[in-house]
Amino acid sequence: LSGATVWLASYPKSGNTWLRAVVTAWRSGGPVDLSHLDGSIASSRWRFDEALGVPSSSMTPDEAELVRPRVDELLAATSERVPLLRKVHDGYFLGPAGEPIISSAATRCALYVVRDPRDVAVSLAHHSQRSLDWARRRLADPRAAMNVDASGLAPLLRERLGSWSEHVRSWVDETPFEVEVLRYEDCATAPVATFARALRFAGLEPIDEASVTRAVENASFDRLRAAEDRDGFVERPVTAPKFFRRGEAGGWRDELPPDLAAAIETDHGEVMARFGYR
Amino acid sequence: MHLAEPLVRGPLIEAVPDAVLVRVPAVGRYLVRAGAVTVERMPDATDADVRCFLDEPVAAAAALLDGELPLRAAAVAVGGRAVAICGPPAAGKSVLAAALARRGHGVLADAVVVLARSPRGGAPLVRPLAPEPVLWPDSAEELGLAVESGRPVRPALAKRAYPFAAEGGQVPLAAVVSLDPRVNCTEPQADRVAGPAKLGLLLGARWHAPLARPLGREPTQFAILAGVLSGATCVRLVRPHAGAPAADLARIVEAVVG
Repeated sequence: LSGATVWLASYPKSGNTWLRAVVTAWRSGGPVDLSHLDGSIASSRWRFDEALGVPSSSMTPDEAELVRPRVDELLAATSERVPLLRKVHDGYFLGPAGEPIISSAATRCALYVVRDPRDVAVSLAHHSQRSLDWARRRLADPRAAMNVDASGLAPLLRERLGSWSEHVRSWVDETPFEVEVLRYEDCATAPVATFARALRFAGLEPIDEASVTRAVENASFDRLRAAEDRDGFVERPVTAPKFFRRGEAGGWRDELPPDLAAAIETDHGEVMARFGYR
Repeated sequence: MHLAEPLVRGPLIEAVPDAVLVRVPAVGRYLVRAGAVTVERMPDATDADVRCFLDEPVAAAAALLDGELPLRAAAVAVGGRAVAICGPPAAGKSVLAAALARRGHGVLADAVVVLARSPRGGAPLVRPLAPEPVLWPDSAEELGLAVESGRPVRPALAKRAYPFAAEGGQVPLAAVVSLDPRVNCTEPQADRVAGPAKLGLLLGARWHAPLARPLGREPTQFAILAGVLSGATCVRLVRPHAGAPAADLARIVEAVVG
């Protein structure tokens, strides 16, 4: 596959922004400006409308999904920067006509960030200002999707997530292109080695330890949090006090009640085991 | 319905110098030629589905073929002169137009603003085009409108078109206001834009810019843009990303023009 796009894919609250920040810092060699992160999101209504000349706000979510692969191809073909990095939270699912919503022809490869779903649930609850039980149910919901409030117009198109397990399987098992899986936990414990592997896989060369170390420092949790305090961050929901909240692996152990942890293990045990989440 | 050897071949739009073909999934194909639009509808499309795309993109394509300059914008007449409101999707263009209409200003356009050269030179003219702001229920409620009082624009969508007093005829363009939602903004404010930034803002507001050059429309578009540069004010209306009362934004726009 020779497309220009490298997808930065993940379920929400799994480290996607961290990956984007590291890539941005590596490409620039300097500090991260949160308003100019590399990898604009695949569901951007603005980019979709710009590419098509037909307003997505007059299309149904299904109609927009039919055209998304064509937008991928246009953006890949006209990108001045190669690889073209694009963030995506959608599962790798089929659209209404049976075609995957992500174009293979536009794709070089994907980096998929996976995180312990017990940590995802805690982070999602804070991010959404909802209960932990809501987050547990959200992770298990095969119909879960974002930007589906029909009473208003969101700046993003509908993003279908499916359940957490379906999301992981869709990207890891179903894609016709190569996918490199990054565990959030490995990013936390061995950031330089893990992000260097990611950059190399994405075709971002030349990789050397010093440049990756500098990028990891510039995109550290403390610096991203300070940047959010100073400049704000467009991806923080209106209701949530912070986007960058805790940024730890294993924080669920002191925030998630045992019964909810057990429920998540029951819902997702098979996929959790594949990635060493015990 | 197709175009032979199109100069522009986009995902939904193809074009040759005297025709634009628009394909809307599940709705139909629109062949736009000077003075005429032919529609080939899909089997399940309703009249409303077909009509929904007649302003944008169909009227925009027709204007482009006619040598006019279509902008992705709403417009309202304030004191007999037009204010075009542009900005990214979901920035609140239609809501601001409706808020200005509630304050007594005539609506000129909602989705597409067509700029035409003025025979007297200077600021281009804006003619009325589908002057009914289309609002989603949350915006209609914010403005105190009865949601159900609007005309549904497509059976599958919750947005509706709301009738306000429309401006009767074409008026000269006074200002282009670009809505700019920002996270580090707490109070809305208007910043004048001049020089290269003004040109950049106007170029970015054009409807489907990739068509202009291949279809040979850049010279006429640039002549119209020159009229905007010399004859109209350009303002970036920065507002909090989380939203701002549309009535407050409307007062700022009035001050810009007044």
